[in-house]
Amino acid sequence: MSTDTATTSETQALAESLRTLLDRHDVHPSPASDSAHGRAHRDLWPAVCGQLGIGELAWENDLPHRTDMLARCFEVVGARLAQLPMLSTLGLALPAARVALGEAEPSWLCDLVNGERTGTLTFADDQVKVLPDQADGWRISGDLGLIIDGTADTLLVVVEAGDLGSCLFRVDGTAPGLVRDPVPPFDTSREITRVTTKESPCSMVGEPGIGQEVRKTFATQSTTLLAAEQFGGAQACFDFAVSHAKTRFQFGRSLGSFQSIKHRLSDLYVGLESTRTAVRHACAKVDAEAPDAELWGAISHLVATENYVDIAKQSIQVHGGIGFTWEHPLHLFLKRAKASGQVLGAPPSVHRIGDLLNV
Amino acid sequence: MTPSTRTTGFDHEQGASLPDHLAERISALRTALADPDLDFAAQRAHIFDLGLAWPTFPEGLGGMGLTPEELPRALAELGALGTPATPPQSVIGVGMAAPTIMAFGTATHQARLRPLYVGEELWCQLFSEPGAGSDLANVSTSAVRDGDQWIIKGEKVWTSLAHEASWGLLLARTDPDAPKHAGLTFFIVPMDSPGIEVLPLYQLTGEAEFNQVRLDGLVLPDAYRLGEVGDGWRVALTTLTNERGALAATSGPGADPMEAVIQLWAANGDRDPDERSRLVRLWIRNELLKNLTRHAPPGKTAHLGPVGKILWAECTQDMAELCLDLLGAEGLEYPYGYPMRRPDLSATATAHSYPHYRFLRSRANSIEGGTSEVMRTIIGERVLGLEPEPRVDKTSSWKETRRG
Repeated sequence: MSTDTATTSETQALAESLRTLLDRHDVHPSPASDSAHGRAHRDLWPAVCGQLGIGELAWENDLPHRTDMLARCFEVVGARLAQLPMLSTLGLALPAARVALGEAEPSWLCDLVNGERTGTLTFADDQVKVLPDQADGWRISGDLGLIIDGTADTLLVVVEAGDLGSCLFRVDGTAPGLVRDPVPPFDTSREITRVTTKESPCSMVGEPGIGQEVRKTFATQSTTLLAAEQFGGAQACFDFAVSHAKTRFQFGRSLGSFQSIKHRLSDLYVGLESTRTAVRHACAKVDAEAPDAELWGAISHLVATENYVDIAKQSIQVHGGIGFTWEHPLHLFLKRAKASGQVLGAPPSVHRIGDLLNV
Repeated sequence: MTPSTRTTGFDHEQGASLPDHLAERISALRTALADPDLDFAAQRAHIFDLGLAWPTFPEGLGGMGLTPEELPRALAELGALGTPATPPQSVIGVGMAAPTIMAFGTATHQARLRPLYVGEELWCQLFSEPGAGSDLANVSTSAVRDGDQWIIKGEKVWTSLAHEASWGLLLARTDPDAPKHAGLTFFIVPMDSPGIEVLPLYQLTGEAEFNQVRLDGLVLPDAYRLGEVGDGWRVALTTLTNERGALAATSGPGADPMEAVIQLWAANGDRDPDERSRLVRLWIRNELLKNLTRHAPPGKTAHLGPVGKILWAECTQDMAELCLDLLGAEGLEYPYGYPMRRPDLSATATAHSYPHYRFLRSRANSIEGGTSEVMRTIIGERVLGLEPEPRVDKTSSWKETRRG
């Protein structure tokens, strides 16, 4: 059973095309998530981002339901645990670039939109320094920490640049002095890389001081899109559990006929539908540029994180021993669920939401 | 209305012209209601006589034969006209008894529709019993045929308004040898009949919102039967399917209960971080509940009924508890005490706004209108399609099944 019936409505159309494309290339959650597997997924990126036009959608400014449409694509990718640079390039880098660049469209940006290059975004701490160099450019030095898809072609970094305040810088992945160490990830479906720089050339994107705006975009759009990805994963886990409860028989009955299992699944469904509401509502707020978009970005990520982790854990429980094996993909979702709560920094706390609510 | 605005089909678009047959009635009602001397009953009588009480009912029975598709438009027009809302004591009659009488009643039964709508005759529902709550089909009140009348014996419980109602809807067992759902028959009961004893049901809040009704020696003519003998479950389902809609239609956009919580929080100087965390989480849950159906996938809105019921019950209970906790030591005093009293439903009553009262009353939220456990079973079986629990009571004779 699918908990989200596909429709042919406009918002769903792009997500449907994406689903079809991933079906055609057999992109499904697989325990064989080694680097070859990941590469096979990433080879699809130009098709997903460029040919389907999802990159264009992420860049497009004047579509009224842009975030809602994008979010449904993130759901699909989250449900498949597809190792695509979706969150990094379209969830993090492009929104940051859009707010910094305004109308400008430099060639590196077009490459991101077309899916020819990948991008990511990170917020540097205060041991990272940027200094102007002689050639009208900048040099960045310091440990950038663990970065999602840190092997991306283009790294966008928010750094405090002295008197200029918080600025956005672009570093090429091949810049001299830049070292990328892939770390063994807890969530094997998402690449994490430690990136250090040493006097690596970089350039400022947008105006000095744009960092605050980038943070705001991150707190609204990026956070909401990650919540959508989490919702997709939660749905996929839940579908596994419901399907198992229908097809696994013990004591002469299907598991789902036992009230202990049935009610557990019903509670998960309540959590799943609450997550859908939080994500859709956040998308609507972001698309409307509502004053409470940041509040809803925070709520959607918090609600999605808590429910995704709960659904992943309980789905494993419903599967019993089968759920504890390497062969069954549920462990991939559990790892993703936990990691996705930390991947943009910890999910906004209840107290942060309280601050936004002014209580 | 001019000929140029005449429409043949029906159009839901805002601002689209009204079809003539509806526009004429609305216009007549507007004229009638303009009289400032009309009391509530007289206003309701005009609405009934113009066929706007239940617009989908037939002419002469409070309706004008509108199709279900035309109904939302008619209701919107009536709302815009500011017609008097159905008062709480008439909800069972207007929302639940009337559709049942319409679907299964004879002309004699249907003659009760006008006094029901006008508010002259209140109705109550003699359904639940001490041994039949969630398992309503397990009712054991017996109806034994004696010529052209029925002798009724049993006990009903959780009956709102039994002490004020003129009529009751009764579900009784006419064939204890048949399986439980097949042995039931539905009746209407004049509540002033001999053999009916109404006692207040003392609740843990100190109030008696409901009654217990003892039926002993009650004799009903067969003419008071609604539907066929043995078909009572189907008739009762008609009443029950209208229950939620009826309650929703009268509740209207009330005050957001979260506002009271935030006010108490603001008035409370402690700012305890644990309580703040509860407050914020409640705010989030309440917002999700308010927006739940709005973001439903197409065609799946009905699936969210039981989801919303569970969320609402839990949210309401937790809000009430936080309010009580925020009162601190003030919460030690229950201003009204617990002497049994009927609820004060007047607009100026304050008892129901006390956090103490709300905390206690909210325990019923996850029991009334379908327990949260029943809701979870509905989600599991009807939404997710899980196998029903094996049951022993569906095919065997009711007499043989275990009860107690």
